[in-house]
Amino acid sequence: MEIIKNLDGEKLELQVKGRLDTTTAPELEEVIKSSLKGVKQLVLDFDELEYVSSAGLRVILGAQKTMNQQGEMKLINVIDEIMNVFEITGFVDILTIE
Amino acid sequence: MINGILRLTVSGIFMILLTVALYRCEEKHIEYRAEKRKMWQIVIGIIYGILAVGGTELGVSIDGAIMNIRDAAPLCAGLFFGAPAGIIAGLIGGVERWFAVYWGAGEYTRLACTIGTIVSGLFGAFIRKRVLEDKRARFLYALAIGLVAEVIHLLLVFLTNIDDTINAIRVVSLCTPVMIPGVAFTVGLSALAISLMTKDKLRLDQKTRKIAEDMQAGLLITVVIAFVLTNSFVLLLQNHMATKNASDIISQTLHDVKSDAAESGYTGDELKEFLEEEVKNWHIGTNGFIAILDSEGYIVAATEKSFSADEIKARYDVDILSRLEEYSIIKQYTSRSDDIYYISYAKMGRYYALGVYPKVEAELNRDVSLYTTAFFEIIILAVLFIQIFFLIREKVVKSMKRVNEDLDRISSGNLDVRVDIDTNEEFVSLSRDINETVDALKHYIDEASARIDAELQLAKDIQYSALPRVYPNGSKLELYANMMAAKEVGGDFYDFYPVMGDKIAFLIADVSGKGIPAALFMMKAKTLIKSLVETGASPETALTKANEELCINNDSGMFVTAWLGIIDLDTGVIQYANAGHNPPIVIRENKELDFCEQKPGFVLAGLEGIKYVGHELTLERGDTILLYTDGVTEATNSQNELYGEKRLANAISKAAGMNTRYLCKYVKADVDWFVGTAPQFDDITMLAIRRKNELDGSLSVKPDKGSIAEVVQYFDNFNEENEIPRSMSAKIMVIVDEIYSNIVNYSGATFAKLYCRLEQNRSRICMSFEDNGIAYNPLEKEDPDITLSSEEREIGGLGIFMVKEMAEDIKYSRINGNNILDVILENER
Repeated sequence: MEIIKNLDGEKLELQVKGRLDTTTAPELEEVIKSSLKGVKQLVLDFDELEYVSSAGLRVILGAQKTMNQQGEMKLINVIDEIMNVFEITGFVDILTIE
Repeated sequence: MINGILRLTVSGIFMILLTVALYRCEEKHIEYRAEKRKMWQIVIGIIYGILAVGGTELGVSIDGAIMNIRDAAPLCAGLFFGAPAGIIAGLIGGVERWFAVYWGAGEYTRLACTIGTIVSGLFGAFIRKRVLEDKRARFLYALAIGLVAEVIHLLLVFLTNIDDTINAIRVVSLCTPVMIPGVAFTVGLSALAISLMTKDKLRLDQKTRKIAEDMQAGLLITVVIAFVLTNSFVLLLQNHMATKNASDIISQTLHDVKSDAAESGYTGDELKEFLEEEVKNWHIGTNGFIAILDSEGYIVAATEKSFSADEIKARYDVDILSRLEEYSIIKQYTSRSDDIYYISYAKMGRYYALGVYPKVEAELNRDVSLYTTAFFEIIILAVLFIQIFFLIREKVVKSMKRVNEDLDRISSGNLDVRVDIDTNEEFVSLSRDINETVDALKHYIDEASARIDAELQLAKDIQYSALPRVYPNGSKLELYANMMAAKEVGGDFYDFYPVMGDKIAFLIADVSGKGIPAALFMMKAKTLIKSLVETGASPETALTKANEELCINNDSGMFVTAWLGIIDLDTGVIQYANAGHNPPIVIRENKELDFCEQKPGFVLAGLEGIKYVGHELTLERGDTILLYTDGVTEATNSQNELYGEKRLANAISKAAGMNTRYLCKYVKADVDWFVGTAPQFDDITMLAIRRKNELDGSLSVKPDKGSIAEVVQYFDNFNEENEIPRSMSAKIMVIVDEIYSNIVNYSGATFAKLYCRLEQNRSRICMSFEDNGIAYNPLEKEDPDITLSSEEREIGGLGIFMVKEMAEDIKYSRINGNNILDVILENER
C-alpha cells in the first residue's frame, strides 16, 4: 500500500493506493492518527485502492469518529468493488462518499 | 617477267605452307603456359624475320624494279601467331633491308622498304591485339590487311622519292600489280589454309554476324563503288588533260619552230642549216624534243636529248606522218628502244619538224594523281573500317554487354539491379525502359505475393477462429491445447466442449491439404462432429455419422484424421474413437507412459460406410492424456531427420507431473530446439488433459503473521491464471483476508490448508480453508447491527458478516479435528 499525504491548511487529503487489509490497515491508521491534529476536513481518495477488508473498515470508522469531533470527512473516487463492501456493511450510511 | 612472277608465286606458296605448318605445331605442342608462349612468340618472330630477309634477298627484278613479298612475313607472324611475333619479324626484316643496300639491294627504295616492313609488323600486331581481340585473322580480314599494308609500303616509296616523281611513279606502277596482290594473297590464303586445316567454318556462311561486320560490309560496297567511280573519273579527266596538255605543248613548240623558220626566210640547204642550229634551243617539257626530218624521213637535226645515234640515222616513215594532219597527235609511238612517245609534226617546205614527247612525262601528272588518290583512299578506308569497329565496340557492343550482364542478374532473380548506362541517348533510354519494366514487374510480383499472403492469412484466421480458447478447467481436470500453424496453412484443429452429465468432449484432427480449402473443410468437419456429440452421440457414432456427411460432395478428395474422446469428469473414463489419427499418449501419475496403440479406424471423408469402433480408457487422478498431430512427430530438422515418437516420449517424460500448459509448451520447445532453423512444414498441434488430484493446487502453510503474504500470493496467482474479473478477485481477496486473519489471530492452529478452484465450467469459485485450530464455527456468530451510527458501531464480527454476504454458499465442518470452511462464489463471466 502507498499513501500520499497532501495537507492544505486545515484540509488533509490522503490518496490511498493498493490494498487495505489486515496487513496494511495499521499503516493507514498510523498515518491518520499522526496527521489529524488541527485538520477540519479529511478527504480519502480511493481511486487506486483495490479492495477494503474489515481491518480497513475499522480504520475508516476510526477516522470517521475522530472527524465527527473536529470537522468532516469524505471519501472520493470510490470504485464499485469497494462501494459494494460499504453497502454490505451499511457503511454507506455513515460515510460521506462522493 | 613471267619467270619473275612464277618465282614470287612459289615463294608465296612456300610462306603459306610454312604458316600452316607452324600453326599446326603451335596447336599441338604449345601449352598455355606464359613463359612457353613468350618463347614461342620470339621463335616465330625470328622465323618470319628470316623469311622477310629471304624475301629481300630473293627479290625478283622486273624492268629494273625488285619485286618481293617480304611484307607478308611480319603480317603472317602478327596475324596468325601474335602481336609480339609480328613486331619482331617486322623489325628483323626492316633492319636487314636497311643494311641490304651494302650487299646489293636497291638504294632507291631503301627507306621506304625499311619503314614499310616495320610498319607491316606493327600493323599486323595492332590489328590482332586491338581489333581481333588476340584471335587469328580470317581470310577476308587477312586479304584486306595484306592489301592495306602493301599500299602503305608503296605509298612510302612514292613519298620518300617525291622529288623524283618520274622514277617514283615508274617504280610504283611496276610494283603495284605484282606486289600488292602478291602480299595480299599470301596473307589471305594463309588464313584460308589455316581455316581449312582447323576445319572451322568460314565467316562467310555464318548466319549471324557482328554489328560491326554488317556495317563494314555495307560500307565496303559503298566505298568500292565510290572508289571505282572517283578513280575512273580521275583517270578519264587526267587522260584527257594529259593528251590535251601534251598536244598543246607539242603543237605550240612546232608552231614556234615553224614561225621561226618562216621568219628566217631561208629555204633549201640554208633552211636545213638554220634548223640544225635552231633545233638545239627547242625542247618540249623536260625530256621532249624537236627533230627535223627531210622528205625522205631521215633525221637531219635534233636536240641533244633526242633519239639514240642509230635512230638519228634511221629513216622515218614519213608516209605515216603525211597521212596525218599537221599538228595532230600520235599517242603511242614506240621508239626502237621501246620508249613510248607522243609525237606530232609540222611541215616546213621540204622538211618535217617532229615534236617528240615521252609518254611517261606526258602522263606523269595523271599517274601521280591516280596512284596517290587510290592509295590514300585505300588507307583512309582501312582507317575508317577500324574506326567504325572501335566506335561500335565502344559505344554499342560494350554497352550491350553491360545491359546483358544486368539482364542476366535480373533474370536470375535480383530485381533490385538497376541498368544504368549513360554512354549515349539510346542506351540511356533503353536503360530507363528496362528499369521501368523491372519496376512494373516488381510491383506486380509484390501485389501478387500480397494477395497470396492475404489469402494465407485468411485461411489462418479461419483456422484460429475455430479453436476454442477458454479452457474448462475446474477442480477435476485441467486442459490445455495449442496449435502453431505452419506458414502454408495446414488443416490442424482441436476442439473441446462440455457435454451432458459432467463430461467433456475433446478432439484433435488434421485435414489433408493446405490453404483455404483445407481451412474450410476443417470448419465443416469440426461443426459436424460437435453437433453430433452435443446431441449425445458416442464418439464412434459421431465419427461414423460425420464420415457419411463428409463423404457427400467431397469432390476435392480431402480427408480428415481425427481422435475424438469424451471424458467423464467424475470417473475419468474416456470413451473414444480414432479415425486414422496418431494415437495419444497417456502419462500416468508415476510418470509411466501408456501408448494407446490399438488399430485406428479409416480416415474421415475417405470412404462411405465406415463403422468406427469405440474404445475406452481410464484416466486416473493425476494422469494426463496428450493428443498431438503428425506435425509434432514429423517435424524435420535441417539434416532431414524426423523428430519421431522416441524424442516425443523422452520430452514427455521430462515434463511429466507438470500442468498441461507446461507440458505442451515443453514439448513444443523441444520440437523447436530439434528443428532449429529448418522451416516448419506442417501445423504443430497438441491437446492435453490432466485429471487433477484431490490436493492439486492447494496451499499448506503454518498460519502465522509471516504467512499472510504467501497466502495472498497464492490467491493472486489463482486470479491471474484463471483470468478472474476484477470485481470477483476483489471479493476473493476480502474473503481470504477475513478468514485467514481469523485463523492466524484466533485459532491457535499450527497447520492450515487453503484451496481455491473453478468449478462447473468456471461458473463457480470454490474456496476451502482448513485448519487444525480450536473448533470454531464462524457461521454461528451473530451478525452485527449495520444500521448503527458511526459513533455506536463496533467493528467486531463485520468480517465474517461480509464473507457471508458475498458468498453464494458457505459451509462449515469439523472433520478429524480440523475446521473446514468452504466458501462458494458465483463467478461473473
